[in-house]
Amino acid sequence: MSVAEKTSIARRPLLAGLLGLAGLAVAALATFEAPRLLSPRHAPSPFDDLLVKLPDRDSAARLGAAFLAENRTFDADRSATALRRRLATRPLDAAIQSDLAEKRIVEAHGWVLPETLVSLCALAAKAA
Amino acid sequence: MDARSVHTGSTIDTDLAIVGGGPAGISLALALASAPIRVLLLESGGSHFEPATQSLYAGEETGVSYIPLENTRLRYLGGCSNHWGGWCRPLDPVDFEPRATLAHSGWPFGRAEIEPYFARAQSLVEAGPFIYDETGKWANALGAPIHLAPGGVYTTFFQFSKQRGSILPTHFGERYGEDLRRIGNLQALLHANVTGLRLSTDAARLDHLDVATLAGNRFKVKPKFVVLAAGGIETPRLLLASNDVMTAGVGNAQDLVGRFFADHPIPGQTATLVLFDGHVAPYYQLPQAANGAYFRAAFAPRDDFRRAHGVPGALATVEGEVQLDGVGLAALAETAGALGMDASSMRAFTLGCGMELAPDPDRRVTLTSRKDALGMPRLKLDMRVSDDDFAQYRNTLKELGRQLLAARTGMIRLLHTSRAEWLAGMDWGNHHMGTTRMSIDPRRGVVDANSKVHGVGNLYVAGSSVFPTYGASNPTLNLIALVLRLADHLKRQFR
Repeated sequence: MSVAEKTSIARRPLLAGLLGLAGLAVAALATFEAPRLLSPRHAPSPFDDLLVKLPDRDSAARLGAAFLAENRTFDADRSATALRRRLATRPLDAAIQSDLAEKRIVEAHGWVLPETLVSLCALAAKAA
Repeated sequence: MDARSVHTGSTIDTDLAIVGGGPAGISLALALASAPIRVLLLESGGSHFEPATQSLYAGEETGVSYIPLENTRLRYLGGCSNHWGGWCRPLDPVDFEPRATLAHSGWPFGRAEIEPYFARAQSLVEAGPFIYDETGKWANALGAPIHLAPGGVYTTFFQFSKQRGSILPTHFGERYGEDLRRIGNLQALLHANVTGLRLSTDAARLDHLDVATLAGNRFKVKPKFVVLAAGGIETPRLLLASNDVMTAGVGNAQDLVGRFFADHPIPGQTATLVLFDGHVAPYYQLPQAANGAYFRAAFAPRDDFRRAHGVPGALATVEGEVQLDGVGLAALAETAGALGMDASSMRAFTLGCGMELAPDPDRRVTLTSRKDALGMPRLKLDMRVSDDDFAQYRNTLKELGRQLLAARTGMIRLLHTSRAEWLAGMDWGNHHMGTTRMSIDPRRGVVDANSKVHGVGNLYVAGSSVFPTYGASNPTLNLIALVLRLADHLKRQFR
């Protein structure tokens, strides 16, 4: 038996042990983290039917928070009602183009944006 | 010739005296070169900067922070062209119109009146062929303009006075000094400070000019006609200080001389422009050469948009590239996503701006009790910028933002919300306008439609001090066109 073969045999129990430990770690993670990973990413909110239209809810919430900081009188329920009406028969892109054509633009942290998009972002911030 | 060699107590007779050797005075002298008129050009400074002469400009300021009066202009041959950036653009037709939405607005005539003079003015500023918004034909070869949806803002073009070795635009003293020397009917007197406009006893005509040098010489000039071309601050100073016959000052029966002062505010970093595809043609950021012209693009409100919304002139330029903060990145992700645009190659830039102020009679220069080295009263400038001036400019940028979004091209962030923020980053164009405004009605203007001072038969004013409404365009090209028109008028007076 060569020296190389002897070394290879000595490693086998070590590798088996390591693989076993890794398996245990994965099982433990799955046990403790599975409920969190499998649950919805955002807590349920009254605006989820609207927020699902947003491209990126986390970005929307961040922009919405900046808007709310400057617009403390924003009425979420009233805005949601208006948005549901506006988005009932058309996709978000069409509603945005309608805002732009009719000059319904607002500022959020200085960004000049369509009213529909900013209202959705503000609801995302409220829901966060 | 140097005024320091003129004997004290002597009198020089001439047909026409031009007070001031800046772009207006030099252009007028050149335009009259072939006319049978003896012209005397009186320039306070020499051929180069001299601190003692420059200090004659010192004064006081109140109100909004402005450039010190001794730094915002230059007192030697060539005048303000010696620190000129070379930016040229004709005023827009709407700039001349009286508008119900803009108090005190309107010229006595439309742009068509000075249109025939633009080509010669363009030649004097050496800005190549007069093409401006026709530049787009050549610009397209360097890259497509930023696509905007239909609306109130469009891409317009500046041209630039000739760049020599990328250093100088046309400095009128250097460039035309030799031409002035070759004009047979012209005598140019350097170091000649006009210290008084002396009227006839009935105040109907200007009788003579008092002239002094810092070396102590004092003499008179007795002209048939006089044109004040000393700039938008010094011209009203001369009129106000010459109060021996008309106690309120020459041409100041209606208390208008020195009022309506204006400059172009250039608030730094007014907005952030984001382009989703990151592409900006080079002529937006730096002057480019094509077809014999240097040109650069800017965003401007259309005339019909300005008429409809009472918006003053504005010219926004694309400046340096910037990084977005966290909220900016969120706004980009959300907006580009909602519009179905790929923003992975996006770039962001600051927008610079030159903007027009609304005419304000309380933004003015007045005399103080302090005197300069020649005994002339120094000036005080009361500088004001109204909240409405900023609000209207924001409306133009908002419209630009709307058009960018509607075209799915990009988006805009307005950086200033409060008056204090605007003023903190404020710079000025050194464009002194409005203090001897033009109107056919003597109750509303200092000079008439020919630039003649109301009530004084032989006294004229040349330069941007006669602009009753200012526009956002840099004034040099426009004031020269107006001067060339005045030259034609003066030639007729000598027939």
